[in-house]
Amino acid sequence: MPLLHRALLACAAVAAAVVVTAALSACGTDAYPGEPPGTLHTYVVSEMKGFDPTQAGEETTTLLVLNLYDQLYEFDYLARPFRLVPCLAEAMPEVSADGLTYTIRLKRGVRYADDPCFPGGRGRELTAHDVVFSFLRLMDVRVESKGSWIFAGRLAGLDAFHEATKVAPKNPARAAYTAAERYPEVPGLVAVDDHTVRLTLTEPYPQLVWTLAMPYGSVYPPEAVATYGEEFMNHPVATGPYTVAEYSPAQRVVLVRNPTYRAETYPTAGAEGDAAVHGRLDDAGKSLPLNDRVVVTVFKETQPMWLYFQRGFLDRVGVPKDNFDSAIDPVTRELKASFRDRGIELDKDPRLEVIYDLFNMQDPGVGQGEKARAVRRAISLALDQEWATRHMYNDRVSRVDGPILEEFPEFDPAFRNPWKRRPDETRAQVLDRARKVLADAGVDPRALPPIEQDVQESTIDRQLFLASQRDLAELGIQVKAHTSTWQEMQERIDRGQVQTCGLSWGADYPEAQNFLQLFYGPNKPPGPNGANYQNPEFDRLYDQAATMQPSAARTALYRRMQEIVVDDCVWVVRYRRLQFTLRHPWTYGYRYNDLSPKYFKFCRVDDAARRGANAEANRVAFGPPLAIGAAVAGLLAAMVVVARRTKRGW
Amino acid sequence: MAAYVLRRLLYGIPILLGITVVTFLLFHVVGGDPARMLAGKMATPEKLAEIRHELGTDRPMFEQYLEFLRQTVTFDFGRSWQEKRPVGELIVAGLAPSLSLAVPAFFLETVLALALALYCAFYRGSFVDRSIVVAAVAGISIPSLAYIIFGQYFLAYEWKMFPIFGYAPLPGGVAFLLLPMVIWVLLGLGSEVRFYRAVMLEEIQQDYVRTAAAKGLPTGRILFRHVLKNALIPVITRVVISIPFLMLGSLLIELFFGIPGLGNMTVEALNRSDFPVVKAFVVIGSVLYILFSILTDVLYAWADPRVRLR
Repeated sequence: MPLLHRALLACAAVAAAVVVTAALSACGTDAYPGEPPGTLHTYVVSEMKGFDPTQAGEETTTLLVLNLYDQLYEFDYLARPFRLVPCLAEAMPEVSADGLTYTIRLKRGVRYADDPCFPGGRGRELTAHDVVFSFLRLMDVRVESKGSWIFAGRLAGLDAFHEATKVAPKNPARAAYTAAERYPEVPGLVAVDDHTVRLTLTEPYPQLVWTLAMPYGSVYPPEAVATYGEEFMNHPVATGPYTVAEYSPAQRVVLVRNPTYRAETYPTAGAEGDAAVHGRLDDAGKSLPLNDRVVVTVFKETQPMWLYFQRGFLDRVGVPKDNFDSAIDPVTRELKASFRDRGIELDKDPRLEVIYDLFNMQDPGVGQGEKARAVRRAISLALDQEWATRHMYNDRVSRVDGPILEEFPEFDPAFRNPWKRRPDETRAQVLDRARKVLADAGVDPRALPPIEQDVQESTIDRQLFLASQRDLAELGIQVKAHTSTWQEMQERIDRGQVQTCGLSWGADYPEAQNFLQLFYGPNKPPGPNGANYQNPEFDRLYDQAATMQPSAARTALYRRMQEIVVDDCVWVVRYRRLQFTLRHPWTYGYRYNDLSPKYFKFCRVDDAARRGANAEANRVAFGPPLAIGAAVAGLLAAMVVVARRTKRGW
Repeated sequence: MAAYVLRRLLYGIPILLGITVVTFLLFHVVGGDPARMLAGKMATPEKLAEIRHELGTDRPMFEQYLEFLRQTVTFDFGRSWQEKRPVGELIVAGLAPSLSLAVPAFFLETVLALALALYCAFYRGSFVDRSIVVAAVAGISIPSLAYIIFGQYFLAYEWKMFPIFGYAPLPGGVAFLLLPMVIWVLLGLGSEVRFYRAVMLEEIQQDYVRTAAAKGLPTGRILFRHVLKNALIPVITRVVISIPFLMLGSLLIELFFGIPGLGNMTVEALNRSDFPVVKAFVVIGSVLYILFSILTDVLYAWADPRVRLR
């Protein structure tokens, strides 16, 4: 046989091997062959960065820390409006009459999961000293904590401690902060006995209790830090419902049930309407966690995540933007029949956030004086948010009138932002109103210099800018773009160089103060008051409300503050996103909560139902591989025929 | 040859210095302040100062650059700002997944491309030659993302021929790597076939080939012993210079298929302004590129006795 033919046959063999192996591997496309029952499959959208509670500054670490560690308090899983319930604490804190002292008693008998860091490898009981250590470590500069802001300036003596850590040598295995090493005493953070912690504030801080439910408020044993040092971030030791069985930061983490987890049950009552939601209250009163294993897979791209869900390899998924139209009916905004027929269910939950356009209040063009205020108001009126909601966001956002969201106790249902289009107003009417605002202030929009808007380099941001440019052109206001990355934009905000830009703020806790701090003068950049808003009346009210416990009087102050910033039009208050989540029918107990996504222990999967559905969804189709094999074989046959028939071409 | 290699290595030093200067300036002048990203939304001037101090970005620029040079010489790039783990450890962890995809895929792609190119050159003008050239041009014209998205959707999801996503170390994880490999081969095959076909065509039309045929040498011997060997110089250039890029992984394929390789890591580091990781990739990539350029020259001398390295 000529050598060329032999070479061709070798190529054919390689191609055939690929096709045959593919056909054979098709039988193994089940993502989890041989997996034990009782496994919940969920996901994160960025690489995991460990489990150190001090580093829980972004979504992925927050999710993992909240589900592995316990905090003193946690959100009631089903209750809406949100409320806290004791987690490691025995009850809600006892607050002194002056609001300065919080006494928190811990549950007894809460044990850490067994780990080699403990003598004999057996987890010991959690104590108040662990709480003190964990909170002190959060304030240790050398730990590079992202959460020190929750206690900064709040607890007596803690700032001095924070300063002392700056000069202390770095020691990732530091398991105690002793006077011998020149760490000062912290009178504001004391373990009264093994089961009582006392927090003493420098001034009343009613939001403190919310911060104790954050991932930064997680409690862990000093032994774990001492044993694992820098590797503590990869070796969580906690009292939570799971321990880590397998961890690959770029791929997945497998959690297994902690056999020493304390007795805890699924809530027996939910929010209004929960009883009608499939799986929401089916497990009421059952012992937690409801599943034995949790597999968290990293998906950095949405397509494989979406396909995984469709094949039944994920139990729930947030609907990706690119797949929205394939799942959601464009008219009714409900789940399409093809999904409903498979028993898939849709949850729509508004996120606790505000998307807004910020104005730089120190800028002479848009920030200073009456004319600038009229320009801001006119811009707010003229931006066609209804169009953007429909065409840019596919109705995945909902209207917001001010920085106090409806889930907050301070929300005023009667409040309407006067500088937004009213529901009964036409586009022409709202534009007339905008023109009148400008005319009343003596502003000729065509004489205004172009307003510079910082636009990030994503397609959606660019499109939103073009839509704004189009809307404002109807008033005669010109807008130009300054393209920058998120980081550059933040730095320009810090330096006061931005005129206007689009931003969003997600709630840390469900209280108006969390959003109103964005207008507080002393919080100017690089703090959260990116608009550099300085209003003495607002600041006075903020200071007054800051130390007040929840009350009608405080609510009145917050509402007044909202009126001030809305009237000044510091932001163009746009909207909030709606979270569209799909659940397979075998998934029970999932409840979206962007404040505290602590759902692993509450979810249950019906293995029999999943197996049945997956067998159907994953039935191998032999036709396409055979067709591809035939096509490759045809090409090779053609090559051989040509080789035989063609005269050699030297 | 030793003197040549030594001289080329010395030439590499100023090149590497230039690369470190450009990388350093890009990150420190254009790249912005990493502390701003790390501080999060509750940043305060004090917090930013603390982070800058911990990262060392509050030190004078020249001092920071000298530190970068020290790291370049010792190949110790410190800890990742985001992962808080030694950069070397991260790279070692990502190397095996990247290579387990890249090496077999690159080998398969090169062998297939050479075989098809040789065939096309030998049977130039035939129906199959024209079809392969048209297919190659069409293949080049399709964006790489389309191959990945359509491949993943149809071959894995719709037709269930491959797993959709995932990775496991070899040999157990071969099923996860098949589809990424097929896509890798398809992605590169068009341009490779076109290039090698042009090389082979030029070689096949040389006088010595006709002389060999006139002497009655068998076709296979002419093609594989003479044509292929004499065409090796451009082949070596293309293959050897590609090797450093194999080590750095395939960015998009790794992202879409969840392969925890170096390409995946590069994207993550760039997105998060993780300068120590980016520095490591730039320096290692540059050093590999310089070394493999020298290796290419050495292989020229091996492949063609007329080449002398002086």
